[in-house]
Amino acid sequence: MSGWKEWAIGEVVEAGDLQSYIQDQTVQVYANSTARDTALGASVAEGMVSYLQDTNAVEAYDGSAWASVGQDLTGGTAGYTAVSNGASGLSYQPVSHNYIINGAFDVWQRGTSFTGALNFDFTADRWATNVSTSDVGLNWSVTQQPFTSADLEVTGFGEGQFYLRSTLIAKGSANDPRLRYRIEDVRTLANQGATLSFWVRSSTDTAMSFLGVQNFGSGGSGVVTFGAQGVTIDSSWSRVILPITPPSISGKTIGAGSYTELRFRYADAGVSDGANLDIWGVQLEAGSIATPFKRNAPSLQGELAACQRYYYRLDADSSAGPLAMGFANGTSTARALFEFPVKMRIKPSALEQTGTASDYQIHYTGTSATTCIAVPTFIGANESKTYAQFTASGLTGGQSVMIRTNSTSSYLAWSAEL
Amino acid sequence: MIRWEELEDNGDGEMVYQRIDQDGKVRLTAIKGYPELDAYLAWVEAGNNPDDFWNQQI
Repeated sequence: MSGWKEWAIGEVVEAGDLQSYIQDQTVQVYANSTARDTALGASVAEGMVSYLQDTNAVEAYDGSAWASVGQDLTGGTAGYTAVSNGASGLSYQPVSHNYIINGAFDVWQRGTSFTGALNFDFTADRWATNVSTSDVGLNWSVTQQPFTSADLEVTGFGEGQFYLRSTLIAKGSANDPRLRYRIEDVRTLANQGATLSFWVRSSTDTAMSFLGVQNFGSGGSGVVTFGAQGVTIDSSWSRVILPITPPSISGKTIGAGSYTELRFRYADAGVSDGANLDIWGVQLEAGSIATPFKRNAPSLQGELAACQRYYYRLDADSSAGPLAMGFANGTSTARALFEFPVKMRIKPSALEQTGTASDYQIHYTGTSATTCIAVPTFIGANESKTYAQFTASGLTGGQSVMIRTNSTSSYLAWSAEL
Repeated sequence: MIRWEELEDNGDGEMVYQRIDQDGKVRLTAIKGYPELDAYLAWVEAGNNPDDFWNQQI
């Protein structure tokens, strides 16, 4: 079949020209495919296009058969979204957010560097360490690392600020130090196909591993593990994509505080002192295809608020920074009320502070302040508010007071972590 | 080793506990319901050595 011709003025249009340049290259309209096949018979030619009135379909002849023009978007499951599978055609999966809060390691309320045995210690918000009893002599660190512009080009996420680096300073007898992340409620994605993805690299390691754990909470069914698999890594950033399906919870008893845990382990063998494991962009989503990384919340403020459902830290911004208003309930103690910025997962039952009493002061009149002689103590809380006790001297019962810091390192913190 | 000890009643009839870290500092105070404290008290109540609590695999 001919393509396109530039006609000269006065040039005669022959029958063959009309056939090949015009009729065969227009969109031919037929009542249905039968009518089309009858009309064309053996005169079909590659590149012909027809419109069928009964189905409103546009089809092109590929040289051997008529094929639909464009992708059929009527397949899949109602409500699912179509995503490219990177090969041909489209795949369908649920519209999903990222179930991982702080998967981009934007929020580090507890600090930016942690070193030691690090067993059950939280590091970046929502991310904790874990070792086993066999890890004698282990000394490792978890630190916040800033991205370079070159890193950002690799990950393709220009808003990334930091990644998490864990370093085995001394391995000791450790065989599986790991980072863990707990997703609130074991029902999350249970018996659903999901995809876990993250960017990773290591200075010396060539492998790591993943394990999922379902914990059914207080009084609930026993722990179930799933999805164990090894991951090959190298010294360059690469995105790991793991299909996982948390098991069905049918027949299980679910108690308070249930969760699904994701464990990211150093490889059991071959890991050596000084090895780094860098990780960023952790995403868990419904469906079988990893979509581009996105935060759990659409903004940094939203991500911080999501973290504060589990942990809230009130930091000093100066050596005399305000913390809260309160009242003296005696000559040596005062109590102060603190309001959480977001409602916490459960009511906190502990108060964290620096461990140094003199990091806190009670301002009680004029410019007079008295320095604490005991560390602040937890008194009570609900999911929205809490109050604490501060101990000093020179107070008068019923006095209104302001609690303030006496050091730039002062802080108060409350946890509702899993 | 790290240990939990009773501190004082919070005035509402609940005991406040303090965790004394290895350097002798108290960085955490809590009431029952705090997971680590509950696990520690249960461990000790079961007749175990308190020092071994920190070495157990959870």
